[in-house]
This record gives sequence, structure tokens and C-alpha cells, in this order.
Amino acid sequence: MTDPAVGTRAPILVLGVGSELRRDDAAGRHVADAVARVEDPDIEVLSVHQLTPELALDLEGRERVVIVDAAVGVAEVTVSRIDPASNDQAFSHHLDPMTLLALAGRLGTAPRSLLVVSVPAYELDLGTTLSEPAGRAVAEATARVLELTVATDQR
Amino acid sequence: MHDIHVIDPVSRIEGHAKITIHLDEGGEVADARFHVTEFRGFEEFCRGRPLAEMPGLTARTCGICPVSHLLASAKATEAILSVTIPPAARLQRRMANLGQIVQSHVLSFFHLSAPDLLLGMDAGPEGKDVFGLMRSEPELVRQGIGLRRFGQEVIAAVAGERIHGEGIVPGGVAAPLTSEQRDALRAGLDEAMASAQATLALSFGLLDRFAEEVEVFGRFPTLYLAQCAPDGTWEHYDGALRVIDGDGGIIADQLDPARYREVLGEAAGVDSYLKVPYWREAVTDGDPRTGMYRVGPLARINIAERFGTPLADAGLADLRERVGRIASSSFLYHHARVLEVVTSLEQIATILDDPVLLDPAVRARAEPSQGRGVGCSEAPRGTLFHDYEVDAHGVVTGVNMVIATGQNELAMNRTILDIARRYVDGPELTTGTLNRIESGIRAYDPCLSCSTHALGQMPMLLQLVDTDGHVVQEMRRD
Repeated sequence: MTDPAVGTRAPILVLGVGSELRRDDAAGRHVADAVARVEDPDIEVLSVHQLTPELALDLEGRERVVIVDAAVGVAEVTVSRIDPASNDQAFSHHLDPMTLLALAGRLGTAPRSLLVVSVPAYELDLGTTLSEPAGRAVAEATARVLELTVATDQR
Repeated sequence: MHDIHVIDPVSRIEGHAKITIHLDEGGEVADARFHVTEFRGFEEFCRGRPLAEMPGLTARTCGICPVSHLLASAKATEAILSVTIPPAARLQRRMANLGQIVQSHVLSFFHLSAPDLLLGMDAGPEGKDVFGLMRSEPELVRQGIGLRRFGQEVIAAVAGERIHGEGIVPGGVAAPLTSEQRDALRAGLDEAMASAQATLALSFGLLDRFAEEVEVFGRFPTLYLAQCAPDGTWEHYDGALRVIDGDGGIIADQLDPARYREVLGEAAGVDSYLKVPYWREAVTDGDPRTGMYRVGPLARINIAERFGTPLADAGLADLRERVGRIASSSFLYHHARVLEVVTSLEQIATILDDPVLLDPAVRARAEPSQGRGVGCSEAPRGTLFHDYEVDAHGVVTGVNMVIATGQNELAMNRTILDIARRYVDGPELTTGTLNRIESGIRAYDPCLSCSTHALGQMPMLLQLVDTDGHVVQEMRRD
């Protein structure tokens, strides 16, 4: 069974992840919103509360998938390439990027490359506004994501 | 020596819990208990909040079934506001709840229970998960993931997001549905229905393979409680309550959910945070356990005369031909879920064809006119009540929530007890026994605290404890 929408999908998927009620935890979604405003037909943007198993089907047919998520304990915006090596960990309704890629691999829907952009998060208490340093990091991360969507040599 | 087996944590359920099995002096199973060890506190911290915030706040109770809480909460606020929501909003809400039933049931069947059902009860924990299942049944897993995605997309169309959307609000819904959204959902229906029918055939076939489990997993007479339509048709959003006994006799019918306090008591135990509702009228000798009733998919298919949709009704007829009019085994919760997935998809198709669905009038507005309101919906796991009290300014002063999993607590205890009596022989437990005890709980798909749980190859700790509290034997499964 193949998703009929696969053939018409944008080659690049940007997937912003986080809770919009936990301040900097939503950094990835702020980045996704900014990328969406570019309206590039080659980029599809999804903004989600958490990574869920069914997103493995949205990865199918992509040249590149960029997951953008907040991270604590990192000092700057970082880009990591996720190895398609097996990471068969059990899950129920949410999972991490490695497990999502492993699931996609098992389903035959893995993208050609999957990158994770980690955005430094500083304030994770209740609220809908970013902290000032996280706001700067979101701007930087947005620029990095847009670079990643055109820098084919890094794909 | 009075011994206790402890299974902690129970894996592949939505939340954290533990099970204790008590042995008597002769080494026979004397009692079994399911304990919920998480504390939430929504009923306390919601007090003092404006009424309009309640759907958004209480939806955070659960990451799997937030739509159920949104609906029960919105209905409670509308009782206080004395408003009737517009027809298009009602259709949107019904569709969202059906999408919720699809995605939640599919998660339970494919992700949580299928490893037991398809890889076998006696299989060890290694590879007994979705990845293990994928090695032997890749197409089945893909169908399950696709079905869940369809359910999530239905929810997102109404609520704005797959999880914790904000589109269901007091007075209706936040926005009209567009024709583009409707057509996108229509495009996914055929594939979803094909997957659901394949799952129904698979599930029916499993009843032969697990004939022993059907006999042992919670096969006892109880009361059943659920909403249904006045003519007895399956209902998930607008119905009144019906209660039947273990033979199908109607105990109460078309009871206004707002009167739930008159018929349901709530007991609190010293060893669990779960409140335990019971049917007051059935209680004897002051023991709440005698007021045991079951809710959720099994209760709904026992209470309903019919689904009112052809494919699901055909499946229901097949089941009744096999087990009789009342499906009394809790193992049949699994099959009931699949039947509900089928009828939900059929009903979503009907709603998508209703021109009223796209009507732009979707919200009524009003001020509080009553001090108390009760909302009720059928969550995937059973009947859900939200009960609010407000002051003259619309500030919440009292909250009571009656959750499906709590209503099944007494039946879960009895189920564990029956399984333990059948499979536990003295102080030694086998992997197969542990699997069956956990699977017996999983049949109810308990949802304890979805927003904070982790899952994976969780360590299972089994302790044998003497009457002095000393651990005399310990087994750990990493």
C-alpha cells in the first residue's frame, strides 16, 4: 500500500515540534512558522505538538526531512544527521527522531536524509512567549533550516 | 505466610501502574489489585479559573483522548450557559469524536495489544512491540499507522491540531469546516475503510486462537453503562445513559447524564489515586465492589441494539452469533474496539455528505445562567462526565470528573484475580503468566495519565513479600 499523495509531495519536509504552552519548548514550531512564510513550493511545513508514529508516513518520498526541536543543555543551534541504523525501540503514541526514522525504514517510507536542528531552550515554564535568547536562536535556526533546504551538497 | 506478587510497572498501557497479587496461607491466589500511582489534581487546580478556559485546561488530562475531554467539558459549560450549539458545530463535534475513537482504538489494537495477539502470549519481552510485529506483519502495521493518521486528520480538521487542538469551544466550534477540508477527508476514507475491514476480519479470526483467553480474561457478569439513542442505537455524543445487567436486562434507560450523582457513587481507596465509581443501587453490605459495572467499547456493544451502519452491524451480528447477545469476556474489548472503528468510519462518511457540515454558523454565545452544568460524552475508553459549578461571575468553584478507566477499576481487579487464579501456581511466576496478567489489564486500554508517561522495554519488577513486608523473592525484567 503506497500513499497516493507521495508522488505530488514537496521534496523537503520541515517538521517543527513542541508545546506552544511551554515557552521555549515551542522554538521548533516558531521556526516552522517562519519557514512556512517563505512559501517555497519545494518545502512542506508541518508544525506538531510531538512526534507521533503516523508521521512516518509523511516522510515517504522526501529528499530531505528537517526536524526542528527545542533542546536544553545546548549553547547554540546545532544540526545533526540521523543515522538510518536500526533503532527499534518500543513506543506508543509518541517517539523520538531516531525511532521515527527507524519506523519509517521498516515501513519503507524513510527519506533520503533526515536532519535534526536543535534550538537552545532556556525557559520552559508555562507561557506562550519565547525568552529573549531563544528568540535569537529561533532566528538563527530559521536561517540554518533555509540553508539546509537549498544546500544540496549537505543533503 | 501471606505473600504478595507485585508487577511494577505494567508496560504497554497509557500510564504507570502496578499490580499486586496476594497469596493466602496455602499459596493460593486470594486477591489481586490494580493500583494507579500517579496523581493529577485537575479537580483542584481548575477551581478559580474562568469557565471559558475549562475545555482547554481539562483537555490536557490526556494526550490520547483530549477530544473526549474537550467535548464533555464544552457540554458542561453549555449547560451552565444554557445554549444550544448550531447544527454545523454539532456535526463537526460528532465527526471529531468519531475520529478520536478511530485513532485511540487503533493505537490500542495495533501498538499496544497486537504484539500480544499476534506474537503470542508466551513470547518474551524481546521484540514484543510494534517493531517486532513489523518483521512478521509489515503491511498490517502500515495499515494500522495509516488508520490512526486518518483519525488524527479528522480531529485536526475540527480541532485545529491532531493533539490538544483548540477548535472545540464553549458554544460550538471555533471555525466552519471548508469544502477543501471536507474533500481531503473524503479522499482518505476508502483506504481507511479497507484497512478497518481487514482488521475486523483479523480480529474475528483471533477469537479462535485465543479461545482460552476469552474464557479466562474477565468473563464474569457485571452491569454495563453507556450512552445510547432512545431506540437503542449506538451513540457516542448525544445519547442518554442506559444501564443493563449481565443478562442484558435494562436496569435504567434514557437517564439524563446530569443526574449521574444520583446513581453513581465514588469510592476512594488507600492504595490507589484512582477514584472508583460504583452503581449505588447494586451495592450490598456497604461494599462498593458489589456495585461493579463496566464502561467502554464492550459496554457500548452490549448496550446498543445496533450500530445503525451496515458494515459494523454485520460484524456485530457475527460476534453475537458466536458469543451470544451479551459479550461478557473483557478479552472481547479488543474486538469491540475494531467494530467501533468500522462504524466510526461509516458515520464519518455520512457526516461528510451532509451539506449542513459546511454551514458557517458554528458558535453560540451567552453568559452563565445556571450555577452547575454536567457534560457527558463517550470517550474511547468509556463514558466520561465533567461536572462544573460556577459563581455569579462565571468563575469555576467546583469540578468533578468521572473518568472511564476509574469506572472499570473494579472489573480490572476482578479480571486480574481470575487470570491469576487460572495461571499463578505458588510463588513462581512464568513469563507467560506475567504477559497474561498485563494483557488482561490492557484489554481495558486503561489511560492513566497519557501526558506524562514513557514506554518501551520497561523494567518489570516482581516481588514476593511476606507479611512483615520483607522481600523474600524478586524477579526483574529489563
